[in-house]
Amino acid sequence: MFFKMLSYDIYRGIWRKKYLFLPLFVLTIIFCQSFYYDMQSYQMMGICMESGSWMDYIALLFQGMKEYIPSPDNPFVFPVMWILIFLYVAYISLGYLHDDLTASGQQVLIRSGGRKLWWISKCLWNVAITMLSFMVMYLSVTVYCLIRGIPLSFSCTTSVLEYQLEMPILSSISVWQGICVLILMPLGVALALNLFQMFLGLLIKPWYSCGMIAAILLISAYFKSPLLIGNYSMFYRSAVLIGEESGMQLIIGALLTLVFVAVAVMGGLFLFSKHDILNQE
Amino acid sequence: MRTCLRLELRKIFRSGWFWLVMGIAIGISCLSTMEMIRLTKDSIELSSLTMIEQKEYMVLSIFTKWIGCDSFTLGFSLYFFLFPLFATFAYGWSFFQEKKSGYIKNLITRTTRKNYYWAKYISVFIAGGLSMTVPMLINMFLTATFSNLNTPDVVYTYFSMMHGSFGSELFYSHPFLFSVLYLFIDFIFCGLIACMSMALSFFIKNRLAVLLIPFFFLLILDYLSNFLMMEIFHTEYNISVMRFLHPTPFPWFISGWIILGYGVLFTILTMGICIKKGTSSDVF
Repeated sequence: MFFKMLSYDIYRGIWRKKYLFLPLFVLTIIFCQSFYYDMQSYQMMGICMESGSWMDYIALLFQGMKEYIPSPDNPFVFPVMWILIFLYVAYISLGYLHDDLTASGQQVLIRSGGRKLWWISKCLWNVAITMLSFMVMYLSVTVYCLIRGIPLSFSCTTSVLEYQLEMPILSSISVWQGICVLILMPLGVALALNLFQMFLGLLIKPWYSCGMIAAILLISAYFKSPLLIGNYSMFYRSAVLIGEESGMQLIIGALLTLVFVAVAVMGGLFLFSKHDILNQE
Repeated sequence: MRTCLRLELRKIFRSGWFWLVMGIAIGISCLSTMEMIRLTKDSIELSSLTMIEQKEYMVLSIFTKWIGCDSFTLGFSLYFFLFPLFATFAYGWSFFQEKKSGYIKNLITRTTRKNYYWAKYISVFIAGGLSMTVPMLINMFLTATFSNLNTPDVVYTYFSMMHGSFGSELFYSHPFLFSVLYLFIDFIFCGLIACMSMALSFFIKNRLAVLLIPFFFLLILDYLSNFLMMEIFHTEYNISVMRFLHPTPFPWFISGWIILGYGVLFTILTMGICIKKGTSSDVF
């Protein structure tokens, strides 16, 4: 029964919403094009002659922003690209639970034999759609790199990142560090935020939960704090880039992600067992 | 038409969601005031430590402290990031809801379509505008309780108004008029953003999309503003609605023509869709 329910969720919540991945694909291409413009201008000025790699584009996609120090001379300009990526991925996974509960999902819930399995199935669906969203982004970068002849390499080019991020990179970034910081951590943060958003959707209306995620992302950009999960998905603030003392540690990030996931899944299990499904709009 | 509008306005002010959104927006705008109170206290304490007789009071001007001139506090950052959501969440959902529930059929059979759609458009517009400007006004009044009314002076560096930006002359000569003008611009734009939700309700059957697409549209426009204006057109004018609705410009200049252009475009699009499509489409 559980696998039947999961396949139903994947069919209704992913396959029938496949058109939502297209804007993500196009947006990522536009982001890549802006990085390419910058690299071209550096090449034309003779500052940096390298064209970068696949991993450099991923690094720029999740660059976020440097630590913000509030002062009247330093206006806060939010990292729109980073926020757009995480917020759009959150939006893709936003409405399904609510839509399902107000439609045929109630019938499925009655036949499923228990609310726990129903919730776990929704959590797994959420994990799947988040992973798929990230795969669409990686695919988009891959397609762009293939068109422009950019090497599909997992290693970061130090000189390209130094000019693009406008900061010195003291030690080179290994392939493994790159994979952890640029692929696994943003994915983990997005997973945690999306599951948390789904959990909040049980307490408040889903559009308010999306507003809360938007606020969490903005506050994460404003404050550099190990307690704000968004910080771990910004390359600018990672310990790999700015050092162990001031940067965000991967281990703490992974632990915080696990806490978010645990709160969302367990809290959701508890809340959903008492949730009134008949009074939904 | 007047009865219809009165009914719609009554619905806004009796809606719990409208007051909830308004409460959240006011709370966030007060966050900026609280941060400013702390900073003002610090600067007064610092000023009392100096030996010079003539104290510096320009820094305490309301035109450096209210949310319209603040560019660095958390309250300001949250407010000018989330305002499209305030505009649409306040009452932008109502047309979608009435269409979905079938309530619209009861109204249209009792008045003309034109009356209904005009009344709905105006009420959504007013609710969207109020959700942005009322918290800003409250913030201004609260800021006035601990700041002075010094007219900005271009010699001082406390004011973040750039030369050549929209309304800069007015800001340095009649700052109150400038603030009122900007509140009016913000009212118009947030009203139009709310009306975008109403216009989208004609094409989209998903409430979340209706409420959130205007926000994503403005975010994408903000990104493109940087990319297009700096990289392709090599100008320093701001085409991002999210940026130019903040009275003092950053990081780029604000052009009055761009504001006017957007205003006309959004009005034509939203009004065209809501009134023209509304009066010609069948609700049954």
